[in-house]
Amino acid sequence: MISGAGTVSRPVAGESFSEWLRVQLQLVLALAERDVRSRLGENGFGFAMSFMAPLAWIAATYLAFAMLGRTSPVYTDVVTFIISGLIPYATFRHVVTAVGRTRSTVRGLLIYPAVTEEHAVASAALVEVLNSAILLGVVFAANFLLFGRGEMDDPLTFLWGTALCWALGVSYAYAFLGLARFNDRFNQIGQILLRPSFFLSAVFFTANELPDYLLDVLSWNPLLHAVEIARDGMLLHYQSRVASGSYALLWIAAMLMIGAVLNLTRRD
Amino acid sequence: MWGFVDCTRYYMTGDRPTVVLFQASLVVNTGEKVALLVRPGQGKSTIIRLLAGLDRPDGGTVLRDAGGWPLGYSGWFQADMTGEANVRSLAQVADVDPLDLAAFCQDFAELGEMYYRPLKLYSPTMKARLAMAASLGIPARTYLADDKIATGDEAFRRKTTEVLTARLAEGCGLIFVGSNPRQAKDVCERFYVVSEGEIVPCDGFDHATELLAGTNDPDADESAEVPVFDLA
Repeated sequence: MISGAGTVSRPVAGESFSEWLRVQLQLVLALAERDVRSRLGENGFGFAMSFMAPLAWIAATYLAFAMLGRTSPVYTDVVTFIISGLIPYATFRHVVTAVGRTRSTVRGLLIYPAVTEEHAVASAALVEVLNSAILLGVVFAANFLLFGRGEMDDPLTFLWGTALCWALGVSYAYAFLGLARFNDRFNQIGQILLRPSFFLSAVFFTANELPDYLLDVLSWNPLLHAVEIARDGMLLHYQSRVASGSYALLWIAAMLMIGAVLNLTRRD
Repeated sequence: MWGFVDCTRYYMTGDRPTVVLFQASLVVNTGEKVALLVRPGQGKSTIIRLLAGLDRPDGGTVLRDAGGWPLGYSGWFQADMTGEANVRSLAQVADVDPLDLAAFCQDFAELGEMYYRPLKLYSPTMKARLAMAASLGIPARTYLADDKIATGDEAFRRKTTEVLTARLAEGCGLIFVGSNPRQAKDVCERFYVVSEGEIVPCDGFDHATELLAGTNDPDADESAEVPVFDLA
């Protein structure tokens, strides 16, 4: 971690904006390729295993539903209902983890003059887009092949909700990377704050079935809005009464701004 | 321009501060070849980290120019990727033609078929050769060397030194930070020794060696193959 009160001058390499942009994209793609190749390993087994956790989540939630005698609150089967909340949520959690660990993964690469933490953040976020797309395909295929089920009411709305979950994850992790520049404990605080998110983000219930007094509190959570948008897009018989994309976007913008201010002012 | 302006940096060893630099200044113009010699345990890694932009001084300013490149550093390489794939990936970072760099490295590193095998099958010497080849294949404005100018067997060292000398003759700069002055003897023009937080200018290689004498073995650490660049 960078410490000390002195300054480090920023190297200047005079170039046009389009040239600068090309180099940045090239760097992000190079980091992403390196990340994917290292995860794939020799036979891709490690990469395949990374999709087991979300499948285990789905299985565990299904078992919990069965044990509690809970049925789907929407006119659909239980597995499809669980998937409609868990895929967007898994996207959020995975990108938080991936972006959150970039400081340690990129540390040895910062000596290369072009590489910055922002490149690593962008690369990790990009790789998680790929992972989410694969996860979506795997889960949908499993649901169709094993249970003969599958629903997708409005693919664009579903993708919009999932993209909001992804962006919330990126911005959340980036803000805490910035806070951790001042004190490492913010890393732990960021993880602790995430723990109840599974239970507070409409993953295994819908916002529509919440009593108003509870909804007034839980609707502060931007992730609930994003998950609800995704569910609204996926399920044929569900229309969220609270989901607000602009509210989630506001949080994303605020957290990105906090992250940018903290990360950029505390460096060079 | 590289260097330090009134730079102070210390770290705590237990409850005692260890001073690496105290209001120290050094200016290295881009293209100059400078050796900054540091006794073992007196902050070589800290100085490298400062010059690499990974650490911030407690006071003063670190000067860094664009186009610096770590000489012989293998940090980018992934064990599961082949030597060639690693080099092509590194070319993206340096914004050079991947095919050109891959061809240069294949020729320079002399790894034969192993060049197309995963890095995890490489010995440390082979990895060091590939890292050195990749560094020298990239047109840096300034090389940043961590205690190693050349690695490998005598023939490979000679070849490395020849190519590096040619690069330096073309105007490329070099900042060597290390505890072994012999490594820098033939390639550096100016020598400095870090002593009690000061950067002391020396009249030449012999003077620099004298300043280090008594506390430093000039032949020490010859066996290590890979430049360390301790960035943790």
